[in-house]
This record gives sequence, C-alpha cells and structure tokens, in this order.
Amino acid sequence: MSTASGPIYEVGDLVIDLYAGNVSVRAVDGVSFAIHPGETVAIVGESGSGKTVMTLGPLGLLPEGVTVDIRGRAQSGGQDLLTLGPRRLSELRGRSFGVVFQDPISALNPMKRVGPQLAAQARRLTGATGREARQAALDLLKRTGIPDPDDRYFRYPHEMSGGMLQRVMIALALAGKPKVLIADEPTTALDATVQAQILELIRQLQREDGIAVLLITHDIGVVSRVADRVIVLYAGRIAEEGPAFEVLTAPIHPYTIGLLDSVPDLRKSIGEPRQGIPGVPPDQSMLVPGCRFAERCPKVEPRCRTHRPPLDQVRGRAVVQRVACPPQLRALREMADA
Amino acid sequence: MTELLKSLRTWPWHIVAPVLLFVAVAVLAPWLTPYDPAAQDYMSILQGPSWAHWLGTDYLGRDLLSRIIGGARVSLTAMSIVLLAALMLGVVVGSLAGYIGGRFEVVMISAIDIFLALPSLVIALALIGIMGPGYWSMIVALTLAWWANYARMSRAVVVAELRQPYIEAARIMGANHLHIFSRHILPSVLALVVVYASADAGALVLAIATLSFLGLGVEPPTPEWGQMLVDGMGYLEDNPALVILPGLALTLVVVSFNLLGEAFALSKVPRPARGLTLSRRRRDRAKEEAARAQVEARP
Amino acid sequence: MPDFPAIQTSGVKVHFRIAPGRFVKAVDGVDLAIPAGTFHGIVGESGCGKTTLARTIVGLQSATEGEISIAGRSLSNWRRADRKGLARKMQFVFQDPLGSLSRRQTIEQSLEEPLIIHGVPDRRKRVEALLDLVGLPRTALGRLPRSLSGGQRQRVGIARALALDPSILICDEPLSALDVSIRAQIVALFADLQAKLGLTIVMIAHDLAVVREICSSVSVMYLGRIVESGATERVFDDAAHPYSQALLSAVPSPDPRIETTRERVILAGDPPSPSNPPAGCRFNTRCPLVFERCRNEEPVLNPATHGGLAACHLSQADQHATI
Repeated sequence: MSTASGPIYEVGDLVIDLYAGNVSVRAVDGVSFAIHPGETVAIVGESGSGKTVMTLGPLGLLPEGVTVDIRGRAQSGGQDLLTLGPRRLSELRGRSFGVVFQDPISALNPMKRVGPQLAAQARRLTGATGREARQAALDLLKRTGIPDPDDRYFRYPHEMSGGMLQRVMIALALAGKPKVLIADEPTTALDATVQAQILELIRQLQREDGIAVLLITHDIGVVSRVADRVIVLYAGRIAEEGPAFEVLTAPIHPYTIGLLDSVPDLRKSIGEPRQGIPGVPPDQSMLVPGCRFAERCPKVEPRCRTHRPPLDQVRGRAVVQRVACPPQLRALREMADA
Repeated sequence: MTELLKSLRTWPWHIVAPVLLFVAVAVLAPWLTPYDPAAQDYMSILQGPSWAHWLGTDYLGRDLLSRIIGGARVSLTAMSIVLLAALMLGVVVGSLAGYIGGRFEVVMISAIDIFLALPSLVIALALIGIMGPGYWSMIVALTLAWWANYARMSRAVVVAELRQPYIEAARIMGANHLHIFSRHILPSVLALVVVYASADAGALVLAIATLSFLGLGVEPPTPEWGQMLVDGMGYLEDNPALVILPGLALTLVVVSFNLLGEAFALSKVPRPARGLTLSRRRRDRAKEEAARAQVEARP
Repeated sequence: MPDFPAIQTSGVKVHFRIAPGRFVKAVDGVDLAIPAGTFHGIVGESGCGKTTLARTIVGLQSATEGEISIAGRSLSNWRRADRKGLARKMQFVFQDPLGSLSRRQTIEQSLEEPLIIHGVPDRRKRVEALLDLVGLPRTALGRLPRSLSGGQRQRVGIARALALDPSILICDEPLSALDVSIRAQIVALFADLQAKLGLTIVMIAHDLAVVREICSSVSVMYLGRIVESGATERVFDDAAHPYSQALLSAVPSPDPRIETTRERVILAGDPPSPSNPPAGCRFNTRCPLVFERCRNEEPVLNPATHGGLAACHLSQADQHATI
C-alpha cells in the first residue's frame, strides 16, 4: 500500500441530487475522498447513506429512470469524469475502473456463454485480437479461482452457482486491466463460506496487481477483514474516515460508535443487550442546516443543529483520521491536554 | 383520503378532461339537446349551420347538434352496459380460475384463449348473425367478444397476488378462502381491471360505431355516430357535415380514451423528472441550499 | 410447564418433484424437539432447507414424509380440525417486511385483520396494545406500509404475528432485510418480547452472531439435514461438526484485532445441490477431514462434547475432530 504516490482516483466536493417522478433527494452532500494504488478503501453506510450513489454516480452507472445532477470533481488519470460525455466516460470507465455489482446475474447476458462475454470485454477494452482475447479470458477465469476453467468457459450464467458467478463478475471487471476495482456489496448476496472465499480472492488479486479497491459495504466484518481505510457515510456526508483499524477499534463519531455498537461479535462474550441507534434515518428530500445526525445523537449540542460539522483531522495522531463532530474532537483534545 | 386528493393533482388533466366532457355531455344530453334528435323537419333539410341549427341539419331535417349529443348518450349507455357485463363475467371467471387453479383453471384458460384468439368483431358478427341485428343483440355480442381480455387480466393479477407473502400471512392467520378472496384478491383485481377497462372504453365505442355502421347495431332513428356516418355518406356533396361531424366526435372520444389508457400505463413506470417539473425542483433545491448556507454562515 | 415440546418433528422430509424421478430434497430427514419457552435458532447456508423447514412447520408447505406436532398435537390434526386454533397457537414473521403486509391496507387494517378473522372483541384497544408492545407510535395506524421505514414495517409484522397471542413464533430471517443499526433494535425487541410473553421462538437466521446473542439453542443444517445442535454458546465455542466449524470460521469479526489474528478455515468449492446430494455424509465433498467411511455411510446425530448432538463420524461424546 503506497500512499506516497499520488491518488489514483480523487473525488472533491461531490454533490449529487436525484430527481425522480415524485421525489427530489440529495443523495450526496459534499463528499471528498481519494484512493491510492494498492489500498483497499471501504465505504460503509446504511441505506440512504449515499454510498452507492457516491461511488457509481461519477462513473455514470446509476440506474435509469432518475435525473442526476452532479457537482464537484472526480479526477482519474488527469481527467475529470464529470466533464466527460457519455461515450468518453464509458471508454475511461472500462479502462480505468472495473465494477463488480451486487447482483452477478444482472451484469451478464444470460443468453451467451460466459467465456465469450469475458473475451468480448477484453477485446473491447484492451484492443486484443480474437485469439489473445480468448486467452485473456481463460487466464482471468483461472486467476479468479474458477475450477476447471476450460470447461467453465463454455458455460451459461444460469449453470453456475452464486459464488462462481461472482468470480466471473470479478473477472469481467478485471478484463480491461483497470487501476481501480469498485465492488458494490460484492458478498451481500452470498453465503458466509462463499463470502470468505471471495474476500480472500479480492485481497489476493490486489496484492498481485497492486490495484486499488473501493469496496461498498454495510458489513463491518467485511471492513475488518479486508479494508485498509474506511469512510463512514451518513445521510450523504462523511461522518468519519481513517485507517480501518483505528476507526473500528476506537471510533470517534457518535454515529460510528452507535453503528459499531449495533454489530454483534461472534467471538466476544455477550455483554449488555444492544440497542442499536434510536430513531430513524433522516429524510434527505429536504436540506436542513446543521448535522444530519443531530436528532439521534447522544452527544448533541445546540450548535450541532445550526452549523454543519466540518470534517476535521484528529490531532496528535500519526495517521490521518478525520471526524465530522466538533464536540467529540474537542473532548479528545481536552483529554489529551489533561 | 388526503393521499387520494394529493394524487389527484398529479393526474394528466389535459387527457382526463375530454373523457369527462364526453361523459358529462352524454349524461346531460336530454337537457342539452335543443331538439329531439329524431324530430324531422322537411322544411329544412341539408342545411348548413344557422342560428336555428348550430351545426345544420341532415337529409331528414333533423338537427345535427342534437343528434351528435344524442349519439354521445347512446354510445355511453351501450358502452357502459357492455363494460359492466364484460367486467362482471371476465373478473369472475378469471379470478376464480386463478384462485381455484388446477383443472378448473386449465379449462377456463382454454375458453379464454379461444375467445381471445378470435377478433372481437368477428365474434360479434357471428353472434349477431345468429341472433339477428338490433340493439340488444349488439350488446350481447360485444359482451361476449370483450370479456375474455378482462378474464385473462384478472387471472394474471390473482396468480401474482397469490404468491405474495401477505397472502401467506393471511392463511397463517387462519383466514379462509372467502376472506382472502374478498378482502385481498378481489380489490387488487378490480383496481387494475377497472382502470384498464375505462381506457379500453374507447375501443368499445369504436366497436359499437362499427357495428352500427354496418347496420348491425343501433337502428335508426336512434342517433349513433357510426350509423350517422353510413347514412351521411350518400349526402357527402350536399352537406359533408353529416359525415365529418360524427366522424370527428368519434375520433375525439376514442383518441381521448386511448390517451387515458396510455397515461395510466406510463404512470406505473418510474420516470425521471423532466422539463418544467425538473426546472422547478432544481430551483427549489437551489433556494434550500442558499437558505441553509445562510443559517450555517452565522457565527 | 407442559410436558411436551412446543414443536416436535420426526423424520420430516420435504421433496419437490422437478422432473420424473428427480427431486429437490429440500428437507431430508429432520428430527427436532423444541421445548416450550425456548428461543431456538436454525442456521445454515442457501440450499440447506431451513426456510422450507420453517414453512412446513407453520403449515405453508406440506411435508412429503414424517410427523410434526405442535404443542403435543399433530399438525395435520390441527389443520384438519382446528385451523383457527392453530393460528392462535403459532404464528409466523416473514423475512420481507414490505411483501408481508398488504400494500393497499393501512397499518391499522393489517393489524386488525387477524382479530376480525377470529372475532376478537375490542379490536381498537388490542391494536393499540400491540403498537405499544412493539414500540410503534399511534400515528402509524393510518399509514400505508410504503411510507414506513424497514424497521417499522418489521415491527408491524411482529405486532401482527402477536395479535392472536400465540405461544409459538416462527421467524424466517426477520433481520436480513434491515439495516445494521435497525437490526440491533429488532433483536432487542425479540429478546424483550420473549422475556415478557414467555414465547417459544424459532428463528431462521444466517447471521451467526445474532443467533449467539439471543438464541439459547441452535441447530445447524446442511443440505436438508441437521448436522449439529445444542446450547448455542456451547456449540459455537466448541463445534464438533467440521461444517459448523467452517461456517463459524467464515464469519468475520468486526474487531480487526481479532479478525487479523484468528485462524481461519476456508472451504473450497460450492455447496452441492439439494437435487443431487452426495452419497454417504453430505458434507464429504467439501470436508477437509474426509476419509473413506464418510463417502459410504451417512452419520447420524450422536451426543457431542458440548452436550448437544453432532452428525460426524469423527465426533463422539467425549471428543471430536477440529479442522
């Protein structure tokens, strides 16, 4: 993991508004982050946090049926994705980004065999010839741990299990030799034992190729297993971000604390019954001043309701950890000073 | 209730209005018609528009305006009767087929398929051939031609709903078939089929006009647009209004109903906000943002 | 305390015919005895048959073979002679909170429905009591399911299941469709309800950590059979069956200090299909400890070291193999 070299993908001041038939929602409300080669960044949030919109939006991968307004910057390879037209965006996307979706069935054509689809993708993105592309597809199947790749090359999607299909999806995403692999809840639909396999695979591929991995998930266990850094989203904003170890073992933002508290750990003794976070997620169809977590926050102060908390660095740490909660940061400073 | 009123605002009133107009005219016809549509006046045949006859008269001196309005009433009445009968027959057969399943369903599906395979007018013609022409023959014939589509739709809704978890929940609660059918299944079926039928009404009006045009439906002197069309053809040179007016009325009504059906179908599909709605939303959003920034800028 | 188990199944099989001579053996011989007042979890991965088993117990599915008895009376007898009595005894909570509520009915109508079916008087009072029981405000009554959040909908589902005051509650993955922070709320609700009402709860789940938190006993299923069962904490601390060990190992810990240092077992391959289970022990195709006997002879549930049962040739009452 080299943070020394510049970021491979950088998003700045991203604001995304969605307009559908009868609702307007601000899904992303001012988010900036960067990812470097070789690192795995987990984007954690619950439904409505904006994690999928934030990640897939700049790439133009949001489903149709919604009008999307995006503001801000999304830099990759010296270009700003937000300024590109659909064709150029599609080219750049294929070559620099590989995307693994939650539901493998939807990304593959059920009427075509798996191998040729992979080969077609390789051909399209890397300009390989027919023979080269076929070989590339076989290699990809092998790399993603699919047993008996020569046979599986000629199978249809419906003949493969969930775990196998997810491997094919990963292969498809890697076909263009991308620099960033984006995985949207890649293991949510899979069984626990298969999930373990897939996570292991992603880790291994990353080590071999040095690609950056952007992982969208709501499963803290997954973050704990594979992430180097984690970004915690709430209501379209970053609540906390930093090294996975730090954030998971010593969370600072009250939402992160509440979220981690809600997750039972199989290997720890059962303590107090967990209560989760009281209340419900905020309504993002309206813009209100202040912190969006204020109404559910146990540490809320008057200023929280009127002023948006800035994402500030935690002082006195060797690592970069940022938290959007002035009361907590102040409490930390006071403790450190004392 | 408030949810219903709210959704009324989103209705495409530019499409619903003509349909409502047709219904209003038809219902109020006896009070709207300046003359009896059957009243003949040999002194004023084939006249153009005048103060006495706003749309002119036909070859028997009958007031065209009154006949157009009267025709609306006749079309609406016939259409309503057929719709009601076809709906009742179709919904009952289709819902029961879907609910009971098994061999009963298979037999019913075959019957439905047979009726669907034949064009409705062919069925209607065949039946009128057997029963003889006339108003009630037309009604019966059209009902038999129309019910199968509603049956098919009802069955589809029932089959889909039966799979839903909430139906299983009702069974686990100890609900019997009658309860499930009347409280859950039937309302879902009616909700879909009735709306479809109202849009389908246009086709039915056209079918009535077609049969009357062929002389197999409404008989003179009762005014009916299709029948007026065929009558007026002989006088095309003398007063084209005899053909143009009923044709226009028919077109307007049928097109309005079709647009209604399309609008309904589209409303079920999630659509991105566009055009004026989008600009309005964007403006609102920008205003909200400015307001918020103002509050947050205070010390 | 009644002297018969709340739920008892013996030799239950549920086979679906997909082609002449070919069956999907979703449930293939399950013996279960759940004492009254316990909170029992059934875990396993896709294709293990846990959902089919739950649906069969509650009567949505007919068993191809075997006996099921609820509160000492056979299920078929209940269904034939006293369907309403069965509904008052045992109820079901669905996985999908939105699909399990009629989208055209208000919450009040959905909660009232069981009361109407059974002719319970004073409906309004009972409905309000149910809302209080699950922690929903009165304002929820007039709303439609789609305007409620996922957690609220699931509370309604639970409230409705409790409307007839059943003593047994079967829940099919009631937490899967919910957000993490909401899950914790509903878990707390379940624990609270069980303590308050003395319910027997059977929860089908795939989240082992949650099962450990609230279920006092657990059964692990694989390909239509129970491979291990016993008191949850003891089974999870010292699982005797290699599949249970692998399943437990596959669950990542949210604490990186534990996660990065623990030993992990990663199974190769995918679970076989229930239409074609392997001969002998069903797990033999993926078991790291497989030996000859496993391929020929299917093990039966025998006492295991943790005090419960395990179906593995290497497991005995005083020792078992570890992957």
